[in-house]
Amino acid sequence: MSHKSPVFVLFIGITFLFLTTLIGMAEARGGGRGGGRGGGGGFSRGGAASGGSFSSRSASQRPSQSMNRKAGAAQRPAKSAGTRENASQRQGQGQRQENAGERQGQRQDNSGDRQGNRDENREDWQDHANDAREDRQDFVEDEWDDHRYGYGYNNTGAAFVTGVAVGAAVASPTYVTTLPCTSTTIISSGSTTYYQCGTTWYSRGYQGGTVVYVVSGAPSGY
Amino acid sequence: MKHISRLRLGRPFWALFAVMAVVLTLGTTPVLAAADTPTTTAAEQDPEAKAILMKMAAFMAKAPAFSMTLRSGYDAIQEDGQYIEFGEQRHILLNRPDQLRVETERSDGEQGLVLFNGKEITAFKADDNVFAQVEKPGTVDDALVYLVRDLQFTFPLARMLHSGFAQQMEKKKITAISYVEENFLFDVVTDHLAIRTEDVDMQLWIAQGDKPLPRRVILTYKNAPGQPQFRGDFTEWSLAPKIAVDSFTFTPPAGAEKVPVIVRVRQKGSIPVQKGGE
Repeated sequence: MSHKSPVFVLFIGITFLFLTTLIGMAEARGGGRGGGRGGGGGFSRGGAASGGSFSSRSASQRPSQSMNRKAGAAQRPAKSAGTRENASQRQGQGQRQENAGERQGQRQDNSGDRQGNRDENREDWQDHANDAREDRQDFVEDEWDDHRYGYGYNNTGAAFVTGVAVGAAVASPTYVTTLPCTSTTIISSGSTTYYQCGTTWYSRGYQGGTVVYVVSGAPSGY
Repeated sequence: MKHISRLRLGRPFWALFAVMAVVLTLGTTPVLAAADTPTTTAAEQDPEAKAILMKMAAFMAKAPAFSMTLRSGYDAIQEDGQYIEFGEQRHILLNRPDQLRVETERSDGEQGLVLFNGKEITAFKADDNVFAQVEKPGTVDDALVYLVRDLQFTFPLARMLHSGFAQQMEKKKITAISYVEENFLFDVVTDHLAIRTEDVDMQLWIAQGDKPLPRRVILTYKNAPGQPQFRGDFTEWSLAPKIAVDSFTFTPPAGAEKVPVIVRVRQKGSIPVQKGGE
Protein backbone atom coordinates (compact mmCIF):
# COMPACT_ATOMS: atom_id res chain seq x y z
CA MET A 1 0.00 0.00 0.00
CA SER A 2 1.56 3.19 -1.15
CA HIS A 3 1.45 6.30 1.01
CA LYS A 4 0.26 9.57 -0.53
CA SER A 5 2.22 12.63 0.32
CA PRO A 6 0.73 15.09 2.85
CA VAL A 7 0.78 17.85 0.20
CA PHE A 8 -1.38 15.75 -2.10
CA VAL A 9 -3.86 15.07 0.68
CA LEU A 10 -4.00 18.72 1.58
CA PHE A 11 -4.69 19.58 -2.06
CA ILE A 12 -7.60 17.17 -2.15
CA GLY A 13 -9.02 18.68 1.03
CA ILE A 14 -8.82 22.26 -0.21
CA THR A 15 -10.45 21.24 -3.48
CA PHE A 16 -13.25 19.58 -1.55
CA LEU A 17 -13.68 22.70 0.54
CA PHE A 18 -13.89 24.91 -2.55
CA LEU A 19 -16.41 22.70 -4.31
CA THR A 20 -18.57 22.31 -1.23
CA THR A 21 -18.70 26.05 -0.71
CA LEU A 22 -19.70 26.65 -4.30
CA ILE A 23 -22.51 24.13 -4.08
CA GLY A 24 -23.68 25.63 -0.83
CA MET A 25 -23.75 29.13 -2.24
CA ALA A 26 -25.79 27.95 -5.19
CA GLU A 27 -28.30 26.34 -2.87
CA ALA A 28 -28.47 29.42 -0.72
CA ARG A 29 -29.33 31.62 -3.63
CA GLY A 30 -31.99 29.17 -4.30
CA GLY A 31 -33.25 28.08 -7.60
CA GLY A 32 -36.93 27.55 -7.35
CA ARG A 33 -37.73 31.06 -8.33
CA GLY A 34 -39.51 29.76 -11.33
CA GLY A 35 -40.00 32.34 -13.99
CA GLY A 36 -40.75 34.99 -11.42
CA ARG A 37 -38.62 37.59 -9.88
CA GLY A 38 -36.93 36.82 -6.62
CA GLY A 39 -36.63 39.49 -4.05
CA GLY A 40 -33.30 38.35 -2.75
CA GLY A 41 -34.33 39.22 0.76
CA GLY A 42 -33.61 35.75 2.09
CA PHE A 43 -37.24 34.95 2.75
CA SER A 44 -37.80 31.41 3.85
CA ARG A 45 -40.72 29.47 2.53
CA GLY A 46 -40.71 27.23 5.56
CA GLY A 47 -42.37 27.61 8.87
CA ALA A 48 -45.20 26.24 10.92
CA ALA A 49 -47.90 27.31 8.52
CA SER A 50 -46.13 26.54 5.32
CA GLY A 51 -47.87 23.21 4.85
CA GLY A 52 -51.33 24.64 5.20
CA SER A 53 -52.36 21.56 7.09
CA PHE A 54 -55.29 21.42 9.48
CA SER A 55 -53.05 19.79 12.00
CA SER A 56 -49.78 21.12 13.20
CA ARG A 57 -47.58 21.35 16.16
CA SER A 58 -49.63 22.55 19.09
CA ALA A 59 -49.66 26.26 19.48
CA SER A 60 -47.76 27.86 22.24
CA GLN A 61 -49.57 29.42 25.10
CA ARG A 62 -51.67 32.17 23.80
CA PRO A 63 -53.18 35.25 25.20
CA SER A 64 -55.89 35.67 27.56
CA GLN A 65 -59.20 36.56 26.25
CA SER A 66 -62.14 35.72 28.35
CA MET A 67 -63.86 32.81 26.71
CA ASN A 68 -66.73 32.88 29.10
CA ARG A 69 -66.84 36.55 29.70
CA LYS A 70 -70.36 36.83 28.48
CA ALA A 71 -71.50 33.33 29.14
CA GLY A 72 -75.07 33.36 30.15
CA ALA A 73 -75.66 36.81 28.80
CA ALA A 74 -79.16 37.37 27.76
CA GLN A 75 -80.10 37.19 24.17
CA ARG A 76 -81.68 39.66 21.94
CA PRO A 77 -85.39 39.99 22.22
CA ALA A 78 -87.83 38.05 20.18
CA LYS A 79 -88.44 40.93 17.85
CA SER A 80 -84.84 40.92 16.79
CA ALA A 81 -84.93 37.21 16.31
CA GLY A 82 -87.87 37.60 14.03
CA THR A 83 -86.17 40.09 11.82
CA ARG A 84 -83.14 37.89 11.89
CA GLU A 85 -85.21 35.10 10.43
CA ASN A 86 -86.17 37.37 7.59
CA ALA A 87 -82.55 38.12 6.97
CA SER A 88 -81.68 34.48 6.80
CA GLN A 89 -84.50 33.85 4.38
CA ARG A 90 -83.03 36.48 2.15
CA GLN A 91 -79.76 34.68 2.21
CA GLY A 92 -81.46 31.58 0.91
CA GLN A 93 -78.81 29.16 2.05
CA GLY A 94 -79.92 26.16 3.93
CA GLN A 95 -77.08 25.97 6.36
CA ARG A 96 -77.29 29.59 7.29
CA GLN A 97 -80.99 29.38 7.72
CA GLU A 98 -80.58 26.42 9.99
CA ASN A 99 -78.10 28.31 12.11
CA ALA A 100 -80.34 31.32 12.27
CA GLY A 101 -83.19 29.09 13.28
CA GLU A 102 -81.13 27.61 16.05
CA ARG A 103 -80.28 31.02 17.31
CA GLN A 104 -83.87 32.07 17.22
CA GLY A 105 -84.74 29.03 19.24
CA GLN A 106 -82.23 29.98 21.80
CA ARG A 107 -83.44 33.51 21.99
CA GLN A 108 -86.97 32.48 22.53
CA ASP A 109 -86.35 29.53 24.76
CA ASN A 110 -83.63 29.73 27.30
CA SER A 111 -83.92 26.12 28.35
CA GLY A 112 -80.73 24.39 29.34
CA ASP A 113 -80.97 21.60 26.84
CA ARG A 114 -78.27 20.55 24.53
CA GLN A 115 -79.37 22.82 21.77
CA GLY A 116 -79.37 25.73 24.11
CA ASN A 117 -75.86 25.02 25.23
CA ARG A 118 -74.67 24.78 21.70
CA ASP A 119 -76.22 28.07 20.81
CA GLU A 120 -74.88 29.70 23.91
CA ASN A 121 -71.42 28.70 22.90
CA ARG A 122 -72.01 30.20 19.53
CA GLU A 123 -73.18 33.42 21.11
CA ASP A 124 -70.05 33.49 23.20
CA TRP A 125 -67.94 33.07 20.14
CA GLN A 126 -69.80 35.82 18.43
CA ASP A 127 -69.13 38.08 21.34
CA HIS A 128 -65.53 37.15 20.95
CA ALA A 129 -65.72 38.00 17.33
CA ASN A 130 -67.06 41.40 18.16
CA ASP A 131 -64.32 41.96 20.67
CA ALA A 132 -61.74 40.90 18.17
CA ARG A 133 -63.18 43.18 15.57
CA GLU A 134 -62.90 46.09 17.93
CA ASP A 135 -59.36 45.18 18.80
CA ARG A 136 -58.44 44.77 15.20
CA GLN A 137 -59.91 48.09 14.28
CA ASP A 138 -57.84 49.71 16.97
CA PHE A 139 -54.80 48.18 15.38
CA VAL A 140 -55.70 48.99 11.85
CA GLU A 141 -56.70 52.56 12.31
CA ASP A 142 -54.86 53.59 15.40
CA GLU A 143 -53.07 56.40 13.71
CA TRP A 144 -56.26 58.11 12.86
CA ASP A 145 -56.59 58.63 16.55
CA ASP A 146 -53.46 60.71 16.55
CA HIS A 147 -55.68 63.71 16.16
CA ARG A 148 -56.98 63.17 19.64
CA TYR A 149 -53.85 64.54 21.15
CA GLY A 150 -53.99 67.62 19.03
CA TYR A 151 -57.46 68.21 20.29
CA GLY A 152 -56.57 67.49 23.86
CA TYR A 153 -58.53 64.31 23.83
CA ASN A 154 -57.48 61.24 25.70
CA ASN A 155 -58.86 57.83 26.32
CA THR A 156 -59.42 58.22 29.99
CA GLY A 157 -61.43 61.31 29.36
CA ALA A 158 -63.51 59.76 26.64
CA ALA A 159 -67.20 60.00 26.93
CA PHE A 160 -69.93 58.47 24.92
CA VAL A 161 -72.60 60.89 24.09
CA THR A 162 -75.79 60.18 22.29
CA GLY A 163 -77.06 62.46 19.66
CA VAL A 164 -78.49 62.27 16.24
CA ALA A 165 -76.33 65.15 15.18
CA VAL A 166 -72.69 65.60 15.87
CA GLY A 167 -72.08 67.30 19.11
CA ALA A 168 -75.67 67.10 20.21
CA ALA A 169 -74.59 66.08 23.64
CA VAL A 170 -77.42 64.64 25.62
CA ALA A 171 -75.84 62.56 28.33
CA SER A 172 -73.27 59.89 28.87
CA PRO A 173 -75.42 56.86 28.33
CA THR A 174 -75.14 53.44 29.78
CA TYR A 175 -75.64 50.78 27.20
CA VAL A 176 -75.33 47.05 26.83
CA THR A 177 -74.62 45.00 23.78
CA THR A 178 -77.11 42.34 24.85
CA LEU A 179 -80.08 42.70 27.10
CA PRO A 180 -79.51 41.39 30.62
CA CYS A 181 -82.72 39.43 30.73
CA THR A 182 -84.52 36.83 28.73
CA SER A 183 -88.14 37.68 29.35
CA THR A 184 -88.23 41.00 27.68
CA THR A 185 -91.25 43.24 27.52
CA ILE A 186 -91.30 45.08 24.26
CA ILE A 187 -93.24 48.27 23.91
CA SER A 188 -93.50 50.39 20.82
CA SER A 189 -94.06 53.99 21.70
CA GLY A 190 -94.17 56.36 18.81
CA SER A 191 -91.25 55.49 16.60
CA THR A 192 -89.19 53.98 19.38
CA THR A 193 -89.13 50.42 20.65
CA TYR A 194 -88.54 49.95 24.34
CA TYR A 195 -87.36 46.82 26.12
CA GLN A 196 -87.91 46.21 29.80
CA CYS A 197 -85.68 44.14 32.02
CA GLY A 198 -86.85 44.26 35.62
CA THR A 199 -87.33 47.92 36.34
CA THR A 200 -84.92 49.10 33.68
CA TRP A 201 -85.99 50.23 30.26
CA TYR A 202 -83.83 50.22 27.19
CA SER A 203 -84.10 51.61 23.72
CA ARG A 204 -81.88 50.79 20.83
CA GLY A 205 -78.93 52.80 19.65
CA TYR A 206 -76.06 52.47 17.21
CA GLN A 207 -72.57 52.19 18.51
CA GLY A 208 -69.43 51.08 16.78
CA GLY A 209 -71.35 49.71 13.85
CA THR A 210 -73.59 47.51 15.96
CA VAL A 211 -76.94 47.88 17.60
CA VAL A 212 -76.81 48.33 21.36
CA TYR A 213 -79.39 48.80 24.09
CA VAL A 214 -79.21 52.12 25.85
CA VAL A 215 -80.69 52.58 29.29
CA SER A 216 -83.55 54.99 28.90
CA GLY A 217 -86.57 56.26 30.69
CA ALA A 218 -89.82 54.36 30.60
CA PRO A 219 -92.11 55.00 27.68
CA SER A 220 -95.05 57.23 28.36
CA GLY A 221 -97.74 55.44 30.31
CA TYR A 222 -95.34 53.04 32.04
CA MET B 1 -11.79 -18.57 14.55
CA LYS B 2 -10.93 -15.54 12.65
CA HIS B 3 -9.81 -12.45 14.50
CA ILE B 4 -10.91 -9.17 13.16
CA SER B 5 -7.78 -7.31 12.47
CA ARG B 6 -7.47 -3.75 13.64
CA LEU B 7 -7.45 -1.35 10.79
CA ARG B 8 -4.29 0.55 10.58
CA LEU B 9 -4.53 4.04 9.21
CA GLY B 10 -1.62 6.06 8.09
CA ARG B 11 -0.82 9.72 8.61
CA PRO B 12 -2.11 10.78 5.19
CA PHE B 13 -5.54 9.44 6.01
CA TRP B 14 -5.74 11.35 9.27
CA ALA B 15 -4.68 14.52 7.50
CA LEU B 16 -7.47 14.09 4.96
CA PHE B 17 -9.93 13.33 7.73
CA ALA B 18 -8.97 16.48 9.57
CA VAL B 19 -9.36 18.63 6.49
CA MET B 20 -12.79 17.19 5.73
CA ALA B 21 -13.89 17.74 9.31
CA VAL B 22 -12.89 21.37 9.09
CA VAL B 23 -14.75 21.66 5.82
CA LEU B 24 -17.90 20.18 7.23
CA THR B 25 -17.76 22.23 10.39
CA LEU B 26 -16.69 25.62 9.17
CA GLY B 27 -17.60 25.58 5.55
CA THR B 28 -20.79 23.73 4.90
CA THR B 29 -22.77 24.54 8.00
CA PRO B 30 -22.91 28.31 7.58
CA VAL B 31 -23.76 27.96 3.93
CA LEU B 32 -26.60 25.58 4.57
CA ALA B 33 -27.80 27.76 7.38
CA ALA B 34 -27.85 30.66 5.02
CA ALA B 35 -30.02 28.67 2.71
CA ASP B 36 -32.64 27.87 5.35
CA THR B 37 -32.60 30.87 7.62
CA PRO B 38 -33.87 34.22 6.51
CA THR B 39 -31.12 36.72 6.35
CA THR B 40 -31.57 39.97 8.15
CA THR B 41 -34.21 42.06 6.50
CA ALA B 42 -35.11 44.22 9.46
CA ALA B 43 -33.31 47.25 8.17
CA GLU B 44 -33.89 46.68 4.51
CA GLN B 45 -35.26 49.65 2.63
CA ASP B 46 -35.72 48.48 -0.90
CA PRO B 47 -36.34 51.60 -2.99
CA GLU B 48 -38.01 49.58 -5.70
CA ALA B 49 -40.48 48.08 -3.25
CA LYS B 50 -41.12 51.48 -1.74
CA ALA B 51 -41.79 52.89 -5.19
CA ILE B 52 -44.30 50.15 -5.91
CA LEU B 53 -46.07 50.81 -2.63
CA MET B 54 -46.24 54.52 -3.21
CA LYS B 55 -47.38 54.06 -6.77
CA MET B 56 -50.30 51.98 -5.55
CA ALA B 57 -51.16 54.46 -2.83
CA ALA B 58 -51.06 57.39 -5.23
CA PHE B 59 -53.10 55.55 -7.82
CA MET B 60 -55.84 54.71 -5.36
CA ALA B 61 -55.83 58.21 -3.92
CA LYS B 62 -56.24 59.82 -7.32
CA ALA B 63 -58.86 57.47 -8.68
CA PRO B 64 -62.01 59.54 -9.04
CA ALA B 65 -64.21 56.51 -8.52
CA PHE B 66 -63.90 52.80 -8.04
CA SER B 67 -65.71 49.78 -6.77
CA MET B 68 -64.35 46.52 -5.47
CA THR B 69 -65.06 43.65 -3.13
CA LEU B 70 -62.98 43.12 -0.03
CA ARG B 71 -63.19 39.62 1.34
CA SER B 72 -61.43 39.48 4.65
CA GLY B 73 -60.73 37.20 7.55
CA TYR B 74 -58.96 37.58 10.81
CA ASP B 75 -57.73 35.56 13.76
CA ALA B 76 -59.85 35.63 16.86
CA ILE B 77 -57.65 34.01 19.46
CA GLN B 78 -59.55 32.18 22.10
CA GLU B 79 -58.57 31.99 25.72
CA ASP B 80 -57.22 28.50 25.34
CA GLY B 81 -55.03 29.63 22.50
CA GLN B 82 -57.13 28.36 19.67
CA TYR B 83 -57.26 30.53 16.61
CA ILE B 84 -60.62 31.01 15.04
CA GLU B 85 -61.09 32.87 11.84
CA PHE B 86 -64.07 35.07 11.27
CA GLY B 87 -64.77 36.62 7.94
CA GLU B 88 -66.45 39.58 6.36
CA GLN B 89 -67.19 40.69 2.88
CA ARG B 90 -67.58 44.27 1.79
CA HIS B 91 -68.74 45.67 -1.48
CA ILE B 92 -67.35 49.15 -1.68
CA LEU B 93 -68.39 51.87 -4.08
CA LEU B 94 -66.51 55.13 -3.83
CA ASN B 95 -67.20 58.23 -5.89
CA ARG B 96 -65.05 61.18 -5.00
CA PRO B 97 -65.31 63.65 -3.62
CA ASP B 98 -68.30 62.93 -1.46
CA GLN B 99 -70.06 59.63 -2.07
CA LEU B 100 -69.45 56.27 -0.48
CA ARG B 101 -71.39 53.04 -0.21
CA VAL B 102 -70.26 50.03 1.80
CA GLU B 103 -72.32 46.87 1.94
CA THR B 104 -71.11 44.46 4.57
CA GLU B 105 -71.86 40.85 5.25
CA ARG B 106 -70.26 39.01 8.10
CA SER B 107 -69.44 35.35 8.05
CA ASP B 108 -72.43 34.70 10.29
CA GLY B 109 -74.72 36.31 7.74
CA GLU B 110 -75.27 39.61 9.49
CA GLN B 111 -75.68 42.36 6.96
CA GLY B 112 -75.02 46.04 7.19
CA LEU B 113 -74.90 49.10 5.02
CA VAL B 114 -73.14 52.43 5.33
CA LEU B 115 -73.91 55.30 3.00
CA PHE B 116 -72.38 58.73 2.73
CA ASN B 117 -73.81 61.35 0.39
CA GLY B 118 -71.75 64.38 1.22
CA LYS B 119 -74.22 65.57 3.81
CA GLU B 120 -74.90 62.73 6.17
CA ILE B 121 -73.81 59.25 7.07
CA THR B 122 -76.42 56.53 7.24
CA ALA B 123 -75.82 53.18 8.87
CA PHE B 124 -78.32 50.38 8.50
CA LYS B 125 -78.51 46.93 10.09
CA ALA B 126 -80.73 44.65 8.11
CA ASP B 127 -81.08 42.02 10.80
CA ASP B 128 -82.39 44.49 13.32
CA ASN B 129 -84.11 46.68 10.73
CA VAL B 130 -82.54 49.63 12.45
CA PHE B 131 -80.77 52.62 10.99
CA ALA B 132 -78.99 55.68 12.25
CA GLN B 133 -78.12 58.90 10.53
CA VAL B 134 -75.52 61.49 11.43
CA GLU B 135 -75.02 64.80 9.73
CA LYS B 136 -71.51 65.03 8.42
CA PRO B 137 -71.07 67.49 5.59
CA GLY B 138 -67.79 67.01 3.81
CA THR B 139 -65.82 64.66 1.68
CA VAL B 140 -65.37 60.92 1.71
CA ASP B 141 -62.12 61.50 3.55
CA ASP B 142 -63.92 63.36 6.29
CA ALA B 143 -66.53 60.64 6.52
CA LEU B 144 -63.96 57.86 6.71
CA VAL B 145 -62.09 59.43 9.58
CA TYR B 146 -65.30 60.27 11.35
CA LEU B 147 -66.63 56.76 10.96
CA VAL B 148 -63.51 55.16 12.36
CA ARG B 149 -62.41 57.67 14.93
CA ASP B 150 -65.61 59.12 16.29
CA LEU B 151 -68.30 56.60 15.50
CA GLN B 152 -65.85 53.74 16.07
CA PHE B 153 -67.14 51.74 13.17
CA THR B 154 -65.26 48.67 12.16
CA PHE B 155 -63.92 49.53 8.75
CA PRO B 156 -60.88 47.45 7.82
CA LEU B 157 -58.36 49.08 5.57
CA ALA B 158 -60.33 52.31 5.57
CA ARG B 159 -57.10 54.17 5.18
CA MET B 160 -56.68 52.76 1.71
CA LEU B 161 -59.80 54.60 0.60
CA HIS B 162 -58.54 57.92 1.88
CA SER B 163 -57.14 60.33 -0.67
CA GLY B 164 -54.24 60.97 1.66
CA PHE B 165 -53.24 57.34 1.65
CA ALA B 166 -49.95 58.02 -0.11
CA GLN B 167 -48.97 60.80 2.25
CA GLN B 168 -49.93 58.69 5.21
CA MET B 169 -47.74 55.88 4.00
CA GLU B 170 -44.88 58.32 3.52
CA LYS B 171 -45.44 59.56 7.03
CA LYS B 172 -45.76 56.12 8.49
CA LYS B 173 -42.55 54.89 10.02
CA ILE B 174 -41.59 51.93 7.89
CA THR B 175 -38.72 50.13 9.51
CA ALA B 176 -38.21 47.79 6.57
CA ILE B 177 -39.67 47.25 3.16
CA SER B 178 -38.67 44.44 0.85
CA TYR B 179 -39.60 42.96 -2.47
CA VAL B 180 -40.49 39.32 -1.97
CA GLU B 181 -41.27 38.05 -5.44
CA GLU B 182 -43.44 38.27 -8.48
CA ASN B 183 -46.66 36.40 -7.91
CA PHE B 184 -48.52 34.73 -10.73
CA LEU B 185 -51.49 33.37 -8.82
CA PHE B 186 -53.88 36.28 -9.18
CA ASP B 187 -55.83 37.48 -12.18
CA VAL B 188 -52.85 39.65 -12.98
CA VAL B 189 -49.19 39.42 -12.13
CA THR B 190 -48.54 41.09 -8.82
CA ASP B 191 -45.59 42.37 -6.87
CA HIS B 192 -45.40 40.88 -3.41
CA LEU B 193 -44.07 43.33 -0.86
CA ALA B 194 -43.17 42.85 2.77
CA ILE B 195 -43.37 45.93 4.94
CA ARG B 196 -42.54 46.29 8.58
CA THR B 197 -43.56 49.00 10.96
CA GLU B 198 -43.13 49.17 14.69
CA ASP B 199 -46.28 47.28 15.47
CA VAL B 200 -47.61 45.78 12.26
CA ASP B 201 -46.00 43.65 9.61
CA MET B 202 -47.70 44.01 6.27
CA GLN B 203 -47.69 42.02 3.11
CA LEU B 204 -49.17 43.45 -0.02
CA TRP B 205 -49.74 42.00 -3.44
CA ILE B 206 -50.02 44.82 -5.93
CA ALA B 207 -50.93 44.43 -9.57
CA GLN B 208 -48.24 45.22 -12.06
CA GLY B 209 -48.96 47.51 -14.96
CA ASP B 210 -50.80 50.77 -15.28
CA LYS B 211 -53.45 49.89 -12.71
CA PRO B 212 -51.46 49.12 -9.58
CA LEU B 213 -54.35 48.06 -7.41
CA PRO B 214 -53.95 45.77 -4.42
CA ARG B 215 -55.06 42.19 -4.73
CA ARG B 216 -54.25 40.93 -1.27
CA VAL B 217 -53.09 42.20 2.08
CA ILE B 218 -51.99 40.49 5.26
CA LEU B 219 -51.50 42.40 8.45
CA THR B 220 -49.74 40.80 11.39
CA TYR B 221 -50.11 42.52 14.72
CA LYS B 222 -46.82 41.39 16.04
CA ASN B 223 -46.99 43.14 19.37
CA ALA B 224 -50.42 41.79 20.17
CA PRO B 225 -50.74 38.58 22.16
CA GLY B 226 -50.59 35.69 19.79
CA GLN B 227 -49.73 37.97 16.90
CA PRO B 228 -53.07 37.66 15.15
CA GLN B 229 -53.44 38.32 11.47
CA PHE B 230 -55.88 40.12 9.27
CA ARG B 231 -56.13 38.92 5.70
CA GLY B 232 -57.97 40.60 2.90
CA ASP B 233 -58.50 39.86 -0.76
CA PHE B 234 -59.54 42.54 -3.20
CA THR B 235 -61.57 41.43 -6.17
CA GLU B 236 -63.93 42.83 -8.78
CA TRP B 237 -62.05 46.05 -9.15
CA SER B 238 -63.70 48.61 -11.40
CA LEU B 239 -62.41 52.09 -12.06
CA ALA B 240 -65.58 52.99 -13.93
CA PRO B 241 -68.23 51.61 -11.61
CA LYS B 242 -71.91 51.70 -12.33
CA ILE B 243 -73.48 54.32 -10.14
CA ALA B 244 -77.23 54.20 -9.87
CA VAL B 245 -79.35 57.17 -8.98
CA ASP B 246 -80.01 55.73 -5.55
CA SER B 247 -76.58 54.27 -4.89
CA PHE B 248 -75.95 56.76 -2.13
CA THR B 249 -79.50 57.40 -1.05
CA PHE B 250 -81.08 55.55 1.82
CA THR B 251 -84.71 54.53 1.68
CA PRO B 252 -85.73 52.94 4.97
CA PRO B 253 -87.41 49.56 4.59
CA ALA B 254 -90.89 49.15 5.96
CA GLY B 255 -90.88 49.15 9.72
CA ALA B 256 -87.29 50.30 10.03
CA GLU B 257 -86.59 52.12 13.25
CA LYS B 258 -84.39 55.16 13.34
CA VAL B 259 -82.21 55.17 16.41
CA PRO B 260 -79.66 57.59 17.80
CA VAL B 261 -76.01 56.94 17.22
CA ILE B 262 -73.58 57.01 20.08
CA VAL B 263 -70.73 59.34 19.30
CA ARG B 264 -67.44 59.43 21.04
CA VAL B 265 -66.70 63.06 21.65
CA ARG B 266 -63.42 64.69 22.34
CA GLN B 267 -63.28 66.47 25.59
CA LYS B 268 -60.90 66.98 28.40
CA GLY B 269 -61.64 65.90 31.88
CA SER B 270 -62.22 62.63 33.52
CA ILE B 271 -65.70 61.65 32.61
CA PRO B 272 -65.69 57.90 32.98
CA VAL B 273 -66.75 55.74 30.13
CA GLN B 274 -70.03 54.19 31.03
CA LYS B 275 -70.51 50.82 29.53
CA GLY B 276 -72.66 48.54 31.51
CA GLY B 277 -73.78 45.01 31.24
CA GLU B 278 -70.47 43.27 30.99
